[in-house]
Amino acid sequence: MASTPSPRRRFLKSAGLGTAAAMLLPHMRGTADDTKKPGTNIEDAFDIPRSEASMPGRYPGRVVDVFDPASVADGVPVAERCGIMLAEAMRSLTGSASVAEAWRQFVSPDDVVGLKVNPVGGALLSTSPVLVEAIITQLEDAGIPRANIMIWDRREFQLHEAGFTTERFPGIAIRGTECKDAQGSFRDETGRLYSEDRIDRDWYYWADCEESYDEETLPYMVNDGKYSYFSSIVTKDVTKIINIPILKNAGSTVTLCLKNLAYGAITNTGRLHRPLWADTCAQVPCFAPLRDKVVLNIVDGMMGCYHGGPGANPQFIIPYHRLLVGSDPVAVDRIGLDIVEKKRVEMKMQEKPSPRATGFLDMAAGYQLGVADMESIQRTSIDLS
Amino acid sequence: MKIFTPLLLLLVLHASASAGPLVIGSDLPGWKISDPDFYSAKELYGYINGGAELYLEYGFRQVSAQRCSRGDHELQVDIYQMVSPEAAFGIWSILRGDCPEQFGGADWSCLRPEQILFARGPYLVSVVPYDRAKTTRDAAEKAAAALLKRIGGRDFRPSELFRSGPLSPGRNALQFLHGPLALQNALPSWDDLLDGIQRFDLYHSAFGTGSRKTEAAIIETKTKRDMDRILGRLGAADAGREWSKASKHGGLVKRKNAKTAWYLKGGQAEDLSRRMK
Repeated sequence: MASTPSPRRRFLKSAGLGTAAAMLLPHMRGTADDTKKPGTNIEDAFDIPRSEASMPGRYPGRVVDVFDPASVADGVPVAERCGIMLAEAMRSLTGSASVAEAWRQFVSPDDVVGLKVNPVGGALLSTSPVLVEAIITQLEDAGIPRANIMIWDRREFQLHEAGFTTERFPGIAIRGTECKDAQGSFRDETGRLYSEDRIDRDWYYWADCEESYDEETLPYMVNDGKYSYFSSIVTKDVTKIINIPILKNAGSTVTLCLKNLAYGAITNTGRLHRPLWADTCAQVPCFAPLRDKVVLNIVDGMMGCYHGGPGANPQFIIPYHRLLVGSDPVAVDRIGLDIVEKKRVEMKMQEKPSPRATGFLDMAAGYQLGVADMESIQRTSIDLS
Repeated sequence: MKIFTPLLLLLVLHASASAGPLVIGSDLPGWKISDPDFYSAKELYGYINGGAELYLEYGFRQVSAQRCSRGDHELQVDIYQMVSPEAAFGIWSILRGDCPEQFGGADWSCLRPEQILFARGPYLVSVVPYDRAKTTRDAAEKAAAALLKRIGGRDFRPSELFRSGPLSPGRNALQFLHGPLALQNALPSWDDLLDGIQRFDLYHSAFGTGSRKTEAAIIETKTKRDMDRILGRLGAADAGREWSKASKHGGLVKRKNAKTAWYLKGGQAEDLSRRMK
């Protein structure tokens, strides 16, 4: 398994550091209240120089939006159509005549490929196992051994609830940072959380805000305090990551590629939602284990939601009949936002797009993770009707 | 034994009270009903992850989650205990959407094939059938009806203005927004007006069509300074007890007191303002 070198431990617990760093970066936006935001250790992320592998990857600013009205039948994704959509998107994104060649632009047989899904919405609104099966099939066709593929997220039990089981995915590792034993306990006989063995304390996102959790809550957060540690799945177990969020709103913005990575890869996230949601989405992917390993983003938009997200509220779950594919997570998120915003306006959830909705994308673009400006994004639409 | 029986009874009653209302076997004969999983305010992140924030903003005590099954048919019952009927109504008003039908005669309820959602007392109840089979949908309605009956307490009562006063045409579209996240979810067009104000209560409704389309709101802040900021952004910094124009935002505004204002905009604004004393 691969490991990533530790960042230089130049770490200043200064509440002003994050703000100071932000002032140096272009395209930052926000309000006067930003000055009150807790500082973070985002500067640590820049200690490791960017490489060719860094986000936004091989195709900055390029997004393939493939639409197929037959991709969902009776509210259920259709496996055959899903595979065709994915293949078309991969060929279009890469310009390769062969689907296998297209995949080999991103991964090789030596890689351990982590498929980062989003199972938080349970059976109702999670990354579709049908899509993950299609990805695995195409990876295998490209020469990636099944034994080198892992489906992962924060919570192993949520993966199971969303349909990612060994029965359905034989030979594929299914792993969560937060996990239980066969008896349903988070702790071993000594009281130690099993999750402790699945985090890497050399890699962390520090923020000057904290939350203390009771005994019942701690297993879902792994640790309290001001540190959020990266999962060792990200830092050690996998060499490449394919990010597979689901097309859904979070208020008037979206929770897609960046959110799926940021909140899915670290511990102790409860403290970050309120004071630092946008910052966390934009900053955590700046750290090398994500920045340099995420090679592809595939938004599952066969089913998705336009309101009530990120939770699963069935009255707002609809078939969007599409996949969004790109190496640039910011550009993919921006196109996803455009789609969700249009649906929200159509359904009278809001009168017009909210100018705040792009805040985290502009911030991520400022960190060079990708392209947030709609005018600069090359969107290729494929209609398989 | 005589000593222990009342003690045992008390313990059972206490446990029942703290657990809150639940689906029980007699509600759905022939169905298997799981023991509830309970999640406290902090544990809510473990249940609905980022979705927790909205509930916490309104004031949340606990949620119970139960799965009911019969063969291949399943339904999910989530009962959110909020801090008040207002809080339960507030979340309901955001999640209601374009509701086609009420359920069980409850004021704050919505029946859809995909979900039954209602606010009763301090509880927000969601019953989700996982398939569209009639058996499952019937069971969902039975479970919801049993809970509706079981949950007592005071329902949210909107201001007299919305109940039977001039704003009553907007009663069914009324939303109660308690804080920035609620605003971002339900009314992002008001983001700029309330930017930076963390604590507020906004009762908002949009009603009427065409030239009679109207927006009405009661805005309550925790401090006079916050209300001053809002009125300034509306372009009505000098608003007093008489209606005045909101020069920047359009519409009419009236300051009821240091921390409360009424706002009207749209086709019926002038008429309504004359009736809202």
